[in-house]
Amino acid sequence: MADVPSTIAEAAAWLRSGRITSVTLTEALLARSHATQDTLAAFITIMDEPALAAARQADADFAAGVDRGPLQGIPIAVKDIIATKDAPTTSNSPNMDLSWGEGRDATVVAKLRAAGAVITGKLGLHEYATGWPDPDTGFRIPKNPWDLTRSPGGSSSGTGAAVAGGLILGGLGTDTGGSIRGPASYCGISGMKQTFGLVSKAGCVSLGYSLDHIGPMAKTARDCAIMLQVLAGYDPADETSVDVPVPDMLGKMDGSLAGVRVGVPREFFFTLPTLDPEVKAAVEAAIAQMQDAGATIVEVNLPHADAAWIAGRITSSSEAYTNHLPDLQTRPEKYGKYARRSIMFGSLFSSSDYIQAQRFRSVFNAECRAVLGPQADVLVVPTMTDVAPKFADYDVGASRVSPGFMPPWNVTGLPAMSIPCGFSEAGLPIGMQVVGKAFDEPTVFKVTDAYQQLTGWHARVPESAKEAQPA
Amino acid sequence: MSESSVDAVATIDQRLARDGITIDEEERTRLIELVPLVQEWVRRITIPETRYAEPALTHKVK
Repeated sequence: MADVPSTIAEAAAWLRSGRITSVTLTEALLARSHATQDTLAAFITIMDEPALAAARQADADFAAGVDRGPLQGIPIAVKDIIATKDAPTTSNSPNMDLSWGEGRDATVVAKLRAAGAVITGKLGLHEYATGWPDPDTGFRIPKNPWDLTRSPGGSSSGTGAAVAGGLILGGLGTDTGGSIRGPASYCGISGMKQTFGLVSKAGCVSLGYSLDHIGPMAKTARDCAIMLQVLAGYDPADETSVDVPVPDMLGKMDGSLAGVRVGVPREFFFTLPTLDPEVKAAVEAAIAQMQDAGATIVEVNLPHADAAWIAGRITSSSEAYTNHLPDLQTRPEKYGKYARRSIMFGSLFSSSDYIQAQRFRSVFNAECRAVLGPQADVLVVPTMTDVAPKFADYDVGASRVSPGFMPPWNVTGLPAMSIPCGFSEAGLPIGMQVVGKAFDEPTVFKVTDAYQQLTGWHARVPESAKEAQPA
Repeated sequence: MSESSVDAVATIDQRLARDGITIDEEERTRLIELVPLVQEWVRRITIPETRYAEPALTHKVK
């Protein structure tokens, strides 16, 4: 087994110094991916031949002096709800029409390929990016590399498992109410949900039209920034794509927190009764560390944050129900029970409920604009209320109606990144969110990268990943 | 849910009939049990500030 780099930034350096080739790196990670399919079960489809062809091309380009940037030759995989021309898109559902997206790449995949990335496969997820892992759908269920009896989170479960398990150096997830940031938190990795409209959603199966985001997941904030630099940009094929200049995602990274105003909205985010004390303590400790490193901590108030997650749930449920209604009418039995239950939740809301949720979004957006910028450069809050639950203990019904700290940032469309900020006594990762102003991803990356330079949480590797070396 | 009525059974049955959806009794019961919860949810987002607010339908992030 070849010695392989653990981050995109490290791999980019190794590839350019000749320490490793893309083919060697890709072969090693493909072997790990196959070797862990009966344990981690991160992939739905592993694309060996297309990946190796892309790796050979990357190496040939390096040899010819062609450098397409830091993703050239880097193994990356995508959630299987995003179209790729060399494998079907299943959405982890027996209901999925496999002709959807056939033979074409989603805009984000095309961008990754143009940047020289090596797409190694399609990653597992919760059916249609909602509900709970359901063995009845016939797909493998991704596991948490830190404890295989526990959930890696969802719905980008395979991406979280694959990055934490060392099967890929970066992956794409999608996030409608926290599906990038939740798995990032439970799996001890970094995950960015950037500003709504900054990354095209064209070629992705929709869950909630006005809340969906495709974003990067990787070991470090720096790697996410490298990926987002490639993914971002206006796309006329996406109705919600925003035509703004793409900032230099790494441009503000200077390793310093001096002078950064970190806003902490205590109410709701730190007072929710279901917040695990270990999670709260870890995030509080991280805030104290940031203060020690020169950040200014500002107590801020978002009076309606406690209801923002509700607006998110009403919106996502209503949009998903509308999206799936034709299939629910004609072939409901094709859905797994958990996805069908989750989507049917949207039948409870009327048109006036939906519009009221959108009016609430306007009000909450204004609340956030009054804080981010005038009072604080970023906000810091917990990502999840807890650490990864055991599959056996999970309450499927409760998850749909429980408050969450992630949906408010889908409601507002603001950039929100989850990074590791500690571990529980049981050895499970804890994540915190860093939230920024609209289109100010560089500041979010500056803060998250500086925090990761101060701490080693993101560098921890689960035992299962160390054991994933094939003979 | 905007209905002030607590007739959750009628609400769900009318919704399902309107949308042409058939579900099993267990799922129908689950939806009926959720009606009071979603009524509370809508009440919580119906704050005075929203009375004349434009809905964020096009959702251009600023």
